[in-house]
Amino acid sequence: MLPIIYHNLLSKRLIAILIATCLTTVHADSIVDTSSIVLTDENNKQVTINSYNGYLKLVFFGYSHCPDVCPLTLFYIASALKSLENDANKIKVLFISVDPKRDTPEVLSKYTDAFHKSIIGLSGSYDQIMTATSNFRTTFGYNLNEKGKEKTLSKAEYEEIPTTMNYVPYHSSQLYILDVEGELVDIIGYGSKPEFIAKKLKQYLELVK
Amino acid sequence: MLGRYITHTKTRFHNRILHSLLFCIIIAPPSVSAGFLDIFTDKTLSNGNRFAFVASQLEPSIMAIDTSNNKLADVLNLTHISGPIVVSEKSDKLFATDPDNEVVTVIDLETREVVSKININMRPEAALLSPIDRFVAFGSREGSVSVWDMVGYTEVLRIDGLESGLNLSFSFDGTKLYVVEPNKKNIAVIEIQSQSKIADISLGDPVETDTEISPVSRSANGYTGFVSVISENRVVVLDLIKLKVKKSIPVGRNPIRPYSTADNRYILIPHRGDKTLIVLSALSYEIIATIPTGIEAKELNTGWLETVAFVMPKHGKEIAMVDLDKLRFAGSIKLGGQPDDGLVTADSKKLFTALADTGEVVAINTRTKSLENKIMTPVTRLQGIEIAISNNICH
Repeated sequence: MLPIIYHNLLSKRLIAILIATCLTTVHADSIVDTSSIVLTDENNKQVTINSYNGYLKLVFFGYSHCPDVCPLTLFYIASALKSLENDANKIKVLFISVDPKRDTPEVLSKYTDAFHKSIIGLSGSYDQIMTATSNFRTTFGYNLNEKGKEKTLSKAEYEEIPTTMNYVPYHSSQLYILDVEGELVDIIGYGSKPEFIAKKLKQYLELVK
Repeated sequence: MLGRYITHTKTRFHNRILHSLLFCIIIAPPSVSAGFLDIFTDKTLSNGNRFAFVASQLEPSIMAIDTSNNKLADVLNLTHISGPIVVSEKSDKLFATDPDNEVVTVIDLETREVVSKININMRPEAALLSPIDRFVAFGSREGSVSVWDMVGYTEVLRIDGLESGLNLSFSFDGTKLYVVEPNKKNIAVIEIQSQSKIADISLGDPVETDTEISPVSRSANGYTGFVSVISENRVVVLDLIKLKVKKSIPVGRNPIRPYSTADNRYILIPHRGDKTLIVLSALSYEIIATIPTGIEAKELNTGWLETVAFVMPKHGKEIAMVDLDKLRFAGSIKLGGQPDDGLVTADSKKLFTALADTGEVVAINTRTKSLENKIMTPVTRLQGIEIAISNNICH
């Protein structure tokens, strides 16, 4: 009996070592410089992604006026977090708004809290958001949809445009998983169901136990 | 007063979220709604970013590939050999064309059953789903284009008399269709709502025969277009708001369809003649690199956070890779068969392509740049591959 238990333990350790090796490999090809991403949190404080080190992180770009992709994805994330129960306390979801004009820290705080308390709204200046999106090898911008005036807004045009104008931000729809040290370890595609998101988060939480 | 204001704002705020969610639930496909209710089962093929579909060239069947575990999930049987297929997340349906009978077969991905056959009165030799996932455009070699609303299976637009209807692209918001007329060197711009051609974008003087032009590709913001005039060794930049040519850029020999990276850094132009990949800056349109790939390019896909480009061959059994950070050739992957078009999953982690001559589908890990799996299917010849969700830019 004892040898079998020992054997099982050994196998589990071997698996753990193998997983850890895979994780090390992931770190080796790390492509996101999280320390360079400086943003403003819901309390109007300057933070970096690394400010949340110690937690498993899920990063998502969006904006609070988004009619479909953002609320649906945040709803899925919130459902996934709920299913993880206490383990959700080990996760921070960083919702980076690409629309700082409308998404003030106060607005973001209310918006994200409505989904789940582990979701934190971050934003920043145009350049700070550009640094963040560039690091994640994606993009963002604003299309003006006023009839007859359709165009993509430049940085200066975005900064000057009244929030009442019909402009629509575009952004990435993927979810990025960063480990407790801020290394990108995985990506979740748009449309992934809460069960899948929960499974992925659980998988990476297991690695830090 | 302040308290009332806060309560009012909060209520208004929660109402906005509630409306958004309600909207999502209403517009969400049955699979999504099913996900909410936990009645989603493994029997269904309706998970939009999970199942990819490949049609057999010789048999009346479509292979369903589970991209999450690299396995053949099912074989869907038809009564005809399928032409191009389209998969819709919103309606949870697969549309399999039957050019010979001018019919489109509709398969419910929840039940895997044929639920309708639509007579579209033209040969559907090209098929394209609109970005808003409601309309499907069909085109024929003879120059007809037909757009169908797949909610009620009604034709919303029919245009005949074009030079060809094979080469179709939608605008980013799905309101317009760009149809390439090669020998006329023209792009016909068709507006769905007004059911009419609203503009012609001329790419040069018309010729009698043999001009080859790629479909239009869009920039990340959707307002700039790129098209290769393959036989004239140039790429044309289009203003898709003013519907005009912005610039014509001489490139290498026989450039194929340009590709705009999702990070808005580069426009990638693979070449069939030169066997190179030209990289243009997405801001200045200047050529910033010419990278030999050794591949007579047919198509290009990118993966793993836009760090790698995969150049698919027109002839041959190898895919070439280009490192998009270092802008240099990153080796090739031997497949053991001739790959058809490829698709990259929504998480950018896997590239799938059917080997047209072996009946296998291969899964390539875009992060490790290596062959992950070969998926056997019961057929010998395959064509194309489609998935409902692969786009990762939200407009």
